[in-house]
Amino acid sequence: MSPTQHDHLLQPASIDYSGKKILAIDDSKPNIDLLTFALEKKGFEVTSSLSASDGLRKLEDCNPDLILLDIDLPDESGIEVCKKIKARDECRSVPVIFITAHGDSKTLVKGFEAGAADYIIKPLKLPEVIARIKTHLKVQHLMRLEKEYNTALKQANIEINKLLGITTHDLRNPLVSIRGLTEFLQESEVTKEQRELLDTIHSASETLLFLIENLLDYASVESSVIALDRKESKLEELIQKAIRLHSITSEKKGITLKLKTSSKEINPVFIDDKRMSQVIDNLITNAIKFSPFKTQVTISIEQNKDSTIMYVDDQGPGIPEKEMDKLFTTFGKTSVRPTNNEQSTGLGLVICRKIIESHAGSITAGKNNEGGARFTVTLNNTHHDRA
Amino acid sequence: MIEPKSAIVVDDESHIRLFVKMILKELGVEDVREAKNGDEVLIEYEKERPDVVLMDVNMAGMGGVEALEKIHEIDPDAYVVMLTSSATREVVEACIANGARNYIRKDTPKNELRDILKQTFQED
Repeated sequence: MSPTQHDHLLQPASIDYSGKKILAIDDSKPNIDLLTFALEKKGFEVTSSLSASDGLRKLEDCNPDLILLDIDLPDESGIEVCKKIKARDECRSVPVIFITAHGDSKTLVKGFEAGAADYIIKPLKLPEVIARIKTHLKVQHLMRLEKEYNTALKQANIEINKLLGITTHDLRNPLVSIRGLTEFLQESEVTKEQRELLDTIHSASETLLFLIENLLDYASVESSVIALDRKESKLEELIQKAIRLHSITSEKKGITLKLKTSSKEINPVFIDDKRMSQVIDNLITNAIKFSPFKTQVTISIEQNKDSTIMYVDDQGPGIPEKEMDKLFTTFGKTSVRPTNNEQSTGLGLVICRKIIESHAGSITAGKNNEGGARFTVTLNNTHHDRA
Repeated sequence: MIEPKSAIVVDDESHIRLFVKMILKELGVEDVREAKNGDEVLIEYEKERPDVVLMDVNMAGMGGVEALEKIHEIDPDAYVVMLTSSATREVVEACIANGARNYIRKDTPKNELRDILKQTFQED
């Protein structure tokens, strides 16, 4: 749905009032007759009631766009009727306009607090009544349009990110082959000129691959709605799994991955284990990336009454103080270089933070006692989805 | 530990098959056959009984994980290494659960890929 095709509807003159339904509740028959006559002449469809009970009953079938409500009804106070009306889901965006003989501030405030959008003071001045009705209907219309735009935009965003994800996967594979096959050629007998061409092809494909990696990560960050599938999970098991999965990469640099827990049994935590594994993977990958060869990365768990805390410590150079704030930002990278020329897009931590915050937890970075980096993930031990 | 001399490479993209084939040749695997999808590899496997199978996880039709299962039905000792474009955890875990010897990301640089394969073959 393109916004431009509806732009003309935002002009006041072009809102079509005909057919808009008004429910008028007033125990004065002359008032009702007057209103009905005047409003119907303007194209409104009018339903009327002479009492609160009849009005509330008619509300069900009528589905009005706007309600005119006398504050002094015989069977129930108009204020109470207004509260009842506004309590209904379908009437949340239906303006209620009080008709009152009382212009005193106290009553008016009560009316607004009950959910009324406006008031008209008796005796009725028809042009004013109509002007107020039109104004409120215009606002209502604009709010509906905005809601439609937002829904359409959100949907479009989801589609785009899906498309982004699919496209980048398709782009990646051929590039991997280009790079790989080029490497085979580079290792065979070639002239100096050919080597130069091959080196260029190789470097260009690496650049493209890196950019595509960026795009994929960016798409997953941008698809901001992280729906969680939470259940009681054993955090140590997730960490052990991750350690096994990362052992190949860590062994290449002679890095040991170690899980440390206190001697007490760790109670399960209420988390989405797929997502939490993503966070653990990310933190471990980072720790390995920035650790010198032959050092240790330690993951530890602590638990107290209220929270479960996970620390990921490395023995690298740590994060420079003044660069701490770059860490959790989109594409933010610090000056610290990976120890084996690994590349990084600077998006992993943003995703981690999104996941942890969806769990109503927190993730922070700092230094540990050995001067290396320490990432701390704190989770609440409650079962409430406060996200 | 195996010293494979024959293999089948399974992937729906031909340039990937070529790439992996060349790596296998570097590792001394002389006889490398190709298959485009799950159905084809089952036919090839039944016929050739290669020393090792390198198979893509994401294939149209019968996916890699299903083909992996079916190969093990033909031969419980089949030596299969999975290739994945994106190592999503569930996929990796499914592969390992179904008896794959290892999983390797397709976008691993060539020399590293070769070394990982070499190391895999050398393990017990």
